Amino acid sequence: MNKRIISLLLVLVMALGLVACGAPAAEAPAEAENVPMQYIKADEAKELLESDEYVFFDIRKAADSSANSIPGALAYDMDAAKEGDAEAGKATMTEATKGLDKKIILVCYSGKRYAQAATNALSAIGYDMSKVYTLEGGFTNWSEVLPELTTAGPVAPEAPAAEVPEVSTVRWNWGTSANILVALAIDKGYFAEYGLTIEFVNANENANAMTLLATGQVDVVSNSGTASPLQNIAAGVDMTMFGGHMVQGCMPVIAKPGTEWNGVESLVGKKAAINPSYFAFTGALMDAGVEDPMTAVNWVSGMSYPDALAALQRGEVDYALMGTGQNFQVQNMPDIEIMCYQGDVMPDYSCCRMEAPTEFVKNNPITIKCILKALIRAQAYYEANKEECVDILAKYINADHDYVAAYMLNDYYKVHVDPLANSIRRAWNILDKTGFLDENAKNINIDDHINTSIYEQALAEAEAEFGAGNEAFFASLKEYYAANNG
Amino acid sequence: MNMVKTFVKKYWVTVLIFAGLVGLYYYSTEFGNANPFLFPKVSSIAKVYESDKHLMGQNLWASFKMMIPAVFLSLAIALSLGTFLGLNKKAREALHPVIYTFSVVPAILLSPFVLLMAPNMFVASIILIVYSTVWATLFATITGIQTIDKSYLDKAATLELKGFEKFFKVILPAASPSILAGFVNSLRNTFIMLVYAEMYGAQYGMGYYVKKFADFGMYNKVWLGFVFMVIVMVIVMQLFEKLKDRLLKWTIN
Repeated sequence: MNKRIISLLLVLVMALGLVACGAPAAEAPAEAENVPMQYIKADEAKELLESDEYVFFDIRKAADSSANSIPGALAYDMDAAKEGDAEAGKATMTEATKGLDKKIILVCYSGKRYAQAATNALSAIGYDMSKVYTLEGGFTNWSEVLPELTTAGPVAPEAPAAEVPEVSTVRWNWGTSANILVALAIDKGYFAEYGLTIEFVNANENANAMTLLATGQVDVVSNSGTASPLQNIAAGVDMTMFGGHMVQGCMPVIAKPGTEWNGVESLVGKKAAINPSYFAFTGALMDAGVEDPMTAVNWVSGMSYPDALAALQRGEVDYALMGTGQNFQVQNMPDIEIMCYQGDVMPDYSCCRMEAPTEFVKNNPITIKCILKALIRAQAYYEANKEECVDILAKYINADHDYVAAYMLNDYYKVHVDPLANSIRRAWNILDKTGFLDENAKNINIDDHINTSIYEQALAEAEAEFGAGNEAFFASLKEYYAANNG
Repeated sequence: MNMVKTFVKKYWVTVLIFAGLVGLYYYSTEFGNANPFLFPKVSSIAKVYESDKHLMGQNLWASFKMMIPAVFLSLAIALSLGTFLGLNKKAREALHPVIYTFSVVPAILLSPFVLLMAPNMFVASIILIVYSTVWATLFATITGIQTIDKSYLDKAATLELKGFEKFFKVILPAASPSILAGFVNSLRNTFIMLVYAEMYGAQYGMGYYVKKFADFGMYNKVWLGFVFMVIVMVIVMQLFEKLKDRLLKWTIN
C-alpha cells in the first residue's frame, strides 16, 4: 500500500515537474518567432530627426506618448500587441505603414518588449525589415541624454540641475521705482529655482545706472528707459538689450483744467516740461507731419517732476509730463487735469528695456535665459494676480497700497518681458533724427545690440516647464513676440 | 615783455597742471578705455564748440544777470545778520539752532516750494542761489566778529568811536579776513548752484547749458559748457583774489 502511494506520489511529482518545465517549453516556439531587431543609438538617431528618409514611431502607451515624446514622432500604441494580441499589433502597423516607404525608428520604453512586438508585427505584414530600427534604450534613455529634444522639454524639477547658470549672483539695478516682475521672481522663489540670487546695486539716475553697467559694477539694468541705453550704445558703450520690463509706463501728460488737447500736435508752439529725449513725443510729432519737433515745441527740460508740477501750477509751462510714480499725486489734485498718457502718444513705446554688457550676455547665456524664464513665470503670476502684486511692490519700495495701485492698476501701465526689438529700432531712428545720438551711431548696427534669441528660447522652455494650465498666457506671449520682433 | 615774464614765472606750474589734465583726458579718450558716453573725444567737443560757440557769450551774460544780484543780496544778508549775531551774544545763542536748521535744507528739496511761492521763475532762481550761498559768509561773519582782537575794541573805545564809525572803521575791517574767507566759498557755491538754479524757464545760462545737455545725454556739450564755466569761474575768482589782497593789505601777508 505504502509502496503504491509512494509510486503514485512520484508519478504526481514527475507530472508536476513536466507541467512546470512545460511552461517555458510551451513558449519556446513563440520566442523562436521573434524577429531579430536592429538597434540605433540615441545620438545617431538624433541626427535623423530632420531627415525625410526616416520616421519615428512612438509605440508606447498612448497616455505616455502624448505626455512627452520625441518631436515629430508618430504615436502608435502597441500595448495590446505587447500583451500578446498579435492581430491588434498587425492591424496597427498596417495602418501606420499604409503608403509609407521610409525607414522606421521604433521608440518604446527601453527598446525591448514593445519594440519586439512592433518588429514582429511589421515583419508579419511584410514590411522591408532592413528598414526597421529600434531606438536603443528607448525613450527612457533618450529623455535622459537629450532632454531638450523632447516635446515636454526637461522635467521641471530637474531643470536647474541640468542647466546651471554660469553666474549665480546677478547684480541688478532697478532705479528707484523697482520692478514688479523682479520682485515677484524673488518673492515666489522663481530665481532661486534656477539657482539665481539677485543682489541690488542702487543708483538713482539713469546716467548713474548706465555708468555702473558700463564699468562692470552692475550686470543688469532694468529701469533706465530706452533712450539712455541707446545713447550709450551710440557713443560706443557695448551693451545688449535682451528683454524688457515695461512696454509703457503710466506717465501722464498734465495741464491746467480746460487746456486744449487734440493729440500730440497740441504741443506745437507751447511750453512743455518734457524731456525731448523721451522719443515718444518727438517721434509722434514727426509721424504727425511736424518736420523739426525739436524747434516746434518749446521743450523745458531739466526739471524734476515736483519742479515741473510747480511750474505748471504757476502757469510757467503749458504742459508737463509726470512720472509713473506721480500718478497718485496728480490724480488727486483738483487744479490739474490729465490730458493723456505717454502710451496714447506712442503706444507700446518700449519704456524700460533690460540690458547687460554684451560681454556678460555672450559669456552667460544660461544665466540670461534663466533670468528671462523666471521673469516670464513672474509675468504669468502678475497677470493673474494684479491686486496682490500691488502689495508686493509696495512692500519693496516702502510705499502704501494706494500709491502703487494708482499706476499699477491703470491700463496704461504695461509690463512685459518681451525684448520688443521693433520698438527699439524705431526709438533708435527717432533719436538719431532728433540729434540725440552721438555721430558714432552711423558706425553701429543697432541689431548687434539686441538679442531676441535667448528670449525666444526662454519662452519655449518656460512653456514646456510650466505651460500646462497657462496655455492662453503662452499663446499671447508667442503672438506678442511674433508681432514685435521681426 | 616784463609782464609776460612775470606771468610765466608765476603761473607756469598752473599751466602745466591744466595742460597735463587736458593731455590725460585726450590720451584716455583716444587710446585708453574711458567710457565713451561720459567722456566724448576731444574732437567731438571741438566740433560742438564750433556749432555752439555763439551761445557761450549769451550763456555768460544770462548767468551774470542772475549771479550779480544774487551775490550782492547774499552778501548783504550775511553781513547784516552776521554782524547782528556776532555782536549780540543773547541773540546769537537763541538763533544759532534756527540758522543751523535752515542751513541744512538741501536746495533740491527746497526748489519746488520756491518755484511755487516766488513771484516768477527768475526770482525763484535768485532765491535758490542766495539760499545755498549765504551760509558760508554768514557763519564766517559771525565768527569773524566774535573773534575780533579785544585790543582793537579797547582802542576804539579810547578813541571814543561809536555807531557806524566804529562798525565801518574797526569791526568790519577787523573781521574782514574771516568774512572774505567765507565769501570765497559763497562765490564758488554760486557757480555750482547755477547748474541747478538756472533750470527754471531759462533759455540761456552756463549752468542751464550744462544741466540741459546732461539730461539730454549729450556729454560733448556738457563738457564744453563745463570747461567754459570753469574758465569763467577761475577768472572771476582770480579777480576776487586780487580784490581780497587789496582789502587785506594791512595784514601780515
